[in-house]
Amino acid sequence: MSSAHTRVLVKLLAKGFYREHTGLLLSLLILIFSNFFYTNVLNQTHLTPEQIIETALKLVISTVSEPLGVVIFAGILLIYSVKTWQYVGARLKEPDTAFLFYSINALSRPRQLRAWAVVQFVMCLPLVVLGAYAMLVGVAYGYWLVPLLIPVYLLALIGYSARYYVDLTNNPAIEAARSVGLTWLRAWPKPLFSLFLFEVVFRKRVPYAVTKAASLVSMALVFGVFPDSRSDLRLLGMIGLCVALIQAVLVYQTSEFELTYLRFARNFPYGKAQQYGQQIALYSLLLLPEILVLFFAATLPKALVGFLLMLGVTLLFRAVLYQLGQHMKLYLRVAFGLFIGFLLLNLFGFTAWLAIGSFLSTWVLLYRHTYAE
Amino acid sequence: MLTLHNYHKSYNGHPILDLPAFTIDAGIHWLRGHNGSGKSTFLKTVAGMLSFEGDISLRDNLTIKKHPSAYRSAVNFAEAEPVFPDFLTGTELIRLFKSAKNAPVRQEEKYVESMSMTAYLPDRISTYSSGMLKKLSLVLAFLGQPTCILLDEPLTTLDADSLPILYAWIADQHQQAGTTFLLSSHQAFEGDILPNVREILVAQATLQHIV
Repeated sequence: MSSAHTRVLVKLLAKGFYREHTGLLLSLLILIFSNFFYTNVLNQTHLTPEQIIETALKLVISTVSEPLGVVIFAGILLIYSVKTWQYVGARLKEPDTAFLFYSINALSRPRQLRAWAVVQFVMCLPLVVLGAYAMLVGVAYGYWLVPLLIPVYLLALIGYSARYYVDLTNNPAIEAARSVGLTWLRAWPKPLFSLFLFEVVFRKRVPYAVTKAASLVSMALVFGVFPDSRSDLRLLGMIGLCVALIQAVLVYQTSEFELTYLRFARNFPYGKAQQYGQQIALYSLLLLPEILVLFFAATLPKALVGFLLMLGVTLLFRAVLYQLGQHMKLYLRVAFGLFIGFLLLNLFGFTAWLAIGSFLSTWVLLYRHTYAE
Repeated sequence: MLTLHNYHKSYNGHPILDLPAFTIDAGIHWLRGHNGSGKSTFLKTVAGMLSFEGDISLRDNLTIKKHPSAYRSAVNFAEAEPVFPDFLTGTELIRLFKSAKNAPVRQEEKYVESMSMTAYLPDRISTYSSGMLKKLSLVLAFLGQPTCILLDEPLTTLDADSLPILYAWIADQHQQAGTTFLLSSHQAFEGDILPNVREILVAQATLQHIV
């Protein structure tokens, strides 16, 4: 880890991997990993403390004891690794990594393998934590075979990944030329506001699918928990706020895309009102699946308020980035803070006012925004 | 023609350019300065792509702060290292710029043909070489009815055959439409194709006409 080239690789690829997949990793953490570590038992009165712990750890124990659990666990580790291979493969095609093809491959093969193994290890830290936890729990409950195989499997995945990356950087022609695909999109008009949607189609399909799945699950959960309150405006407001929060990472990516690829548009003669209109069009289309569900599940006037709050808060998250710049941690803190504050105000019945306030605040932030760098 | 009023630009408190008053007359200007002297920053502020303190007016009646849209309609810009979404084709990008800059129908054709770009414009930008991309960004800078065109390092990555063609575009545009050009480079201007090129030196956080 101490060598200069390893540090460069980690900074260039592993950090970028975490930055790019924040949404995916957060969703995994919430949906899978939290239950993996400890599953709360709803009714504990008839269980002894030992039984409560064993039940809470059922998921992790089954990954080292049940054949199906072992296969699913190994599959998750493999899918995650494949994702890292895809990411590194795509990054190695970008201009800022081109220097690796005439620098790092001058090292001896064992040193290259070691450096790439460190990169893969850093990218796989969530897997290492999961694997170590499964090992500990497995051994504590008397299972030996699978817990001992987990580090071997992880090492094999990391070793294979390192070899794959070394091959990629030493034999650039190893990958067969791929068809660009999606040729049917060529005929579609591509106005400026829609360019991020095409970026989603070409490059961000996974983050988009994860975001949409998470927001649809959240909508189903809220409607499921309060089945008799569909006509309550506060419930639709809560859904609007949850959906907007789930879009936060996608919103961050739109801002990053604009800063990198749409810099030229700053010279376009578009006024602030026109820019605002373009953003409303973009985020309305990005939120289209949630909007359809909302209008299908609730009556029109109330669904409309829920939709306006959803769109208004999403636009506000985008506008907040004008002030903060591309600082993910700070941005997520502000987004969570706004979410909590708005949630409380929504519970007091200020749903429509929150929607109006979000649109107005977005306008003020956009109007005051200058292209500082 | 282009007048700077109390112009000041700094990065993180470090002053890059400080110009209480400066005027650039109509014509073709060669903006020369060392790497990091502030040429690109200056052009980007004039193009409306970067914020700055003060104001810039065009033809005395159009200022970037008071008339941002009309000003941007009149000022076009080509970056030194252009970056565009690489899933777009050259044709789509030209269409986008023509729509934004309100360009006449088929305006791009003479530029595209003279630089022999017709064959690759329907391809995605991801397949372009840096030279092909540079030519495309130069074509985009000529679209519309600009009063002023800013070309940042227009000569880099351009092949020797394309240089006289670019100079011919500049000379024609200047003669026919009276368009002012600001071309930046770290080298002294050596061409003799362009008429009456005047040099402006960028150094020590200021601009200076070279007589």
